[in-house]
Amino acid sequence: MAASLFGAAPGAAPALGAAERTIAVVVEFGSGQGLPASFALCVKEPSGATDAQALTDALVSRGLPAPTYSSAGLLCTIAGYPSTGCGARAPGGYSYWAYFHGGSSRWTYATDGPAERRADPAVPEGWRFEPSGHGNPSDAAPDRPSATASICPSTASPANQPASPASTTIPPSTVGVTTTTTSASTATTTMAPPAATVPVTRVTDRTAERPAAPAAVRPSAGSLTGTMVAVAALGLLITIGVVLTRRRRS
Amino acid sequence: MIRFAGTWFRYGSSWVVRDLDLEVADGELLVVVGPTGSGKTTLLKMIDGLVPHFSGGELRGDVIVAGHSIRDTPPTELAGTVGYVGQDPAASFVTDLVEEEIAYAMENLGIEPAVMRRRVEEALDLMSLHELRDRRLTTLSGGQRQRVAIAAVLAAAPRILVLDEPTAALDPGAAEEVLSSLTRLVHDVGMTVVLAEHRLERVLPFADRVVLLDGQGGMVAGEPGAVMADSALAPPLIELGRLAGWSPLPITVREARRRCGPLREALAELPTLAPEADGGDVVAKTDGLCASFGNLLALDGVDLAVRAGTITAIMGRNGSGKSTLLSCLAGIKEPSCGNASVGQTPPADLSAAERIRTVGFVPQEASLLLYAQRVDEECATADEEHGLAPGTTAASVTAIAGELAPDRHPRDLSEGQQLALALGIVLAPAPRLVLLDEPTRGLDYEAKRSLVAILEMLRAKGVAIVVATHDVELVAQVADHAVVLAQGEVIANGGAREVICHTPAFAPQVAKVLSPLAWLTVGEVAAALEGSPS
Amino acid sequence: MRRERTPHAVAWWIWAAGLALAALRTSNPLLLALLAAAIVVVCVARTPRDLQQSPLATFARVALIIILVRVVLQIVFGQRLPGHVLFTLPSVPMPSWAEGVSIGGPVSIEGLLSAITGGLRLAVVLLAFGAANALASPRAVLRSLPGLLHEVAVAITVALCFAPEVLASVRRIQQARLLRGRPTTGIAGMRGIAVPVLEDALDRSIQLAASMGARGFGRRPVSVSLARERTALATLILGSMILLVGGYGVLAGSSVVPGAAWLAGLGLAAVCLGVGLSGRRAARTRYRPAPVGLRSVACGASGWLSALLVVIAGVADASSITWSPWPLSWPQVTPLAFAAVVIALVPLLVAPGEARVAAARGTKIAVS
Repeated sequence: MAASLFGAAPGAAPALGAAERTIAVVVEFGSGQGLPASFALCVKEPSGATDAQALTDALVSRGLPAPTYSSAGLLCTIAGYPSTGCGARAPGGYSYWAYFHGGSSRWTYATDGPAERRADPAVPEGWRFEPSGHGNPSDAAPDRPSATASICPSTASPANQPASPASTTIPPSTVGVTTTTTSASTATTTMAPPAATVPVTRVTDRTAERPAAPAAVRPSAGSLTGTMVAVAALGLLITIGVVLTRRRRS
Repeated sequence: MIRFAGTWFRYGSSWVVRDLDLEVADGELLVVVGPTGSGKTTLLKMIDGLVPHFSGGELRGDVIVAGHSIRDTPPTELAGTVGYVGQDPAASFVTDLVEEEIAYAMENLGIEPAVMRRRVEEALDLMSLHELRDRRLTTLSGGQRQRVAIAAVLAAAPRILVLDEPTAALDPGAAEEVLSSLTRLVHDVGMTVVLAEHRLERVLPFADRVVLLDGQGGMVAGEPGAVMADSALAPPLIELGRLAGWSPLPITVREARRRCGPLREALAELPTLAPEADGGDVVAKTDGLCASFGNLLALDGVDLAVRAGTITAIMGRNGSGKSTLLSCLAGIKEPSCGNASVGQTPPADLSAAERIRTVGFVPQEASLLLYAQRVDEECATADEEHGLAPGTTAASVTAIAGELAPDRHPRDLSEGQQLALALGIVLAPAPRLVLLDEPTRGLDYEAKRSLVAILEMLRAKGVAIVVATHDVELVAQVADHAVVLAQGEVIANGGAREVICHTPAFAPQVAKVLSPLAWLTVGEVAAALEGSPS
Repeated sequence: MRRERTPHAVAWWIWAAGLALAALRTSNPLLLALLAAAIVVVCVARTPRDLQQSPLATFARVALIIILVRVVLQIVFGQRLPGHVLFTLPSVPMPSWAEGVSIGGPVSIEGLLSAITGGLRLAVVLLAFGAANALASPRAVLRSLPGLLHEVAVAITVALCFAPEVLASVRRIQQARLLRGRPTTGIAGMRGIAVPVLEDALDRSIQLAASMGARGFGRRPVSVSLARERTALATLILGSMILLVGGYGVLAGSSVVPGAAWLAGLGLAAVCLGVGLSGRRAARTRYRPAPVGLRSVACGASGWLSALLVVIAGVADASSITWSPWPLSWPQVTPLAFAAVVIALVPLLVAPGEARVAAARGTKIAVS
């Protein structure tokens, strides 16, 4: 589609450098309607990468749609969810994606944006969808534990062995939730075999929380007519403007 | 109508107005004259209450205007009674279209729309502004602005009209136009008009009475002829009358012409005056010079040669391209076709430092050239900038302006002193060409006399001087050559005597009186009579 | 009553305000560009010929600078959202207390497009007001303000005159400095220019104040009770404040101020009440008030109808007026949004061209 005209999909190939670190990403679709669902991802990033980059890479590596942002840079969707609205008003507050920094003991509500935050292996990034949040630290934090060691256990090991595809345990606190597991060290798009074995279907399949298909968030293909007509009209108006200006001058 | 009763006024420590007793009758045209700083403007502003209500200062005694004491009547309340037009009409414009400006005062006064409509038309008629009613104020020429400013106060139907130097910025034709409109008001509407003016030769013929302030707080009032009989300030016509011993003195050119038969005969027998010297080398010249501002062509093919040791006067209506011609010669305006050269090079190609040593330019507002806080500082920075030995500028300034207190702020000096200071600074690097734009604007007779002396001294030194001016008397006194511009073209170019005697609009009073003889100044006549055997 | 020949000055400003509002409601660059083009075409076609320099050109220049500044800021400090990286600037490591600020780093197409779109939105607002300035003098608008606001209007008028005069005096002084071979730029140059310019400006203000006073400005009517006038003024000020807050809420997209539309309505009602209370103040009269008729109504309404269409288009299909470069996609202009642009051009029909105005007045226009 349109995006393909500009080249490769965003976030496809972060440069692999010596200074790669594993970043833990937690995404929770929330428990608003009693339908909690979440997944955790571990992704390798070069040292300069931002949290926003890590999130994109993590989703794309899973074959999920990359996050979308509003023109002002506010995160609108993760994995295509929600399919409409961006920070829209909801009864009792706003429905939006809240952003948290993890730590050894708890999640803290972020005061910065994912694009300004340098990804830190010790600080997992947490995303929780708030169906009626307030846009301040009183909004509920992710249910999952906040420490890197609990999300991506293998990286916490002192040796930091890169080639141990280990499944994460399901934390006891996330009762009754189907979660994804990740292969900790090879989650990047270089596509090591284990990554391919971790399909999207591992994400919870409860209908209400299922991430929308990529096609749902993008404008449908074949509607370039609107663009073309508008560009033609723009050209016409500019021509009229130029002709009128010339005539006034002469 | 207006009564000054033992009025004293001061801003600071010294009294500007001392014990003034004066009564202006209904329907009178009163002209206030006096040297710079004699309190003319203050006196005028008192009639409108702007002094002391806007200016501050201390008022003793009182001024009664149409039955109101200005002590307790602010200008706003006098708006329907007194119309005041300041020195710079453009500075008083509030709206942006001619018609709206004229209606502005009436809107404030709450005059009925129907009446307002009629009065606007009347004001447009009186000031001949019909063609301009839809124009933007910023597009008007100086004379037109002055007429709009007068129309704008007239429309409110005041009983008194006060004007501060209404013709200072106007060419002779436009000045004549404004003054005759004023006379019409006095005659037809019975309005009382008070105006201040430096250029007596312009206003005297229209005055019913003249008030002469001497600058020390003293005052003489009376019929123009009587006041002029022993006034130090006098236009050439009066001086000619004194020379010829006419009594009472003639106030208008027409009166003088009726009486001057014997004088003309005596002069006709005298040898014709020697033609002006040709001067030295050509210092500056222009060849088919054009200059434009956007779409407007300000100069259209001007050919001109300026020789060393001569004074060339450039005359013409407001907006005829005089200032633009000087800017081109000074190198601050690029010609759009043809060329201007000083020596062999176009001045615009010279570096700033070279240009200053070659061309000296004093713009219309000489004060713009001054920006230091003290006179001595001004001279010192000028030395530094022009790369001159310390003290050169100070010496040059002293030669021209006399001794100026070194600690005075340049902006506190009088107009004449500011001009002299600016001229002194410009002349310090000894440029071969000096350009002066409208140098006599705002100068009183005394200051004008010293300007003439300076110009003659420079000419004697072999400097080429170009003066753009509306002041025909100045041209008559000093110019060797005269150039008349119209719509950016040269319409007359030649010896000053020939050009100004044959262009009625620019003829000086003496030439008008003695026409067809080509005498220009009283000085010439006096010298010729002395030298003659009779 | 005179017949209406051209839309009232106020109608032009209302038209422009509507279009500015429309621009503020959309982030679709194509729609913004169409709106900008519509504004420029109407302005060029209907600006009075005697205006020496159209304010639109000045405003357009400022608008262009705004877009450029946004792009530069985006390149240097911008958000580093993932995208198609064009080039990477060396990034400066920031100390921990300035974690949020990033300098340098990868510059993406998306980031640049977002900066251009954001700049374009402000640019359209500026163009709208530039066009309003060119089409109808702000002073003519101020003249039409209710009598109660007359003093305020005059103060604004004077301020409006002031800016060009200061510029003119800067130019004169620069030229004079050139004559003495002084620097006219740089700090030294600025210092030398600032003092005379300020002195000049002060002189002029005082002269203007005196002239206004001498022509009856600020006369108090005897017939109107002070209490009533004060009530009217208080209502008006309070109403304007409420209107301001409500209006901000409406513009900012409803989520910031609760009940924004209600507030705006309340404010408007209070303003009308204030004006109505003061309406009997007959101390001032108005010279040849410009007639208001169908042309004015059509002109003013077209701007707001255009804004309304943009809003409706957004309700019908949010993606038609909101556009974001993340993910990259071509901006769409739906028929409704397109209609908004066409409606913005209505003044071309209702306002006669210069030649017809001149013919109606019976005066000749000099064509050089």
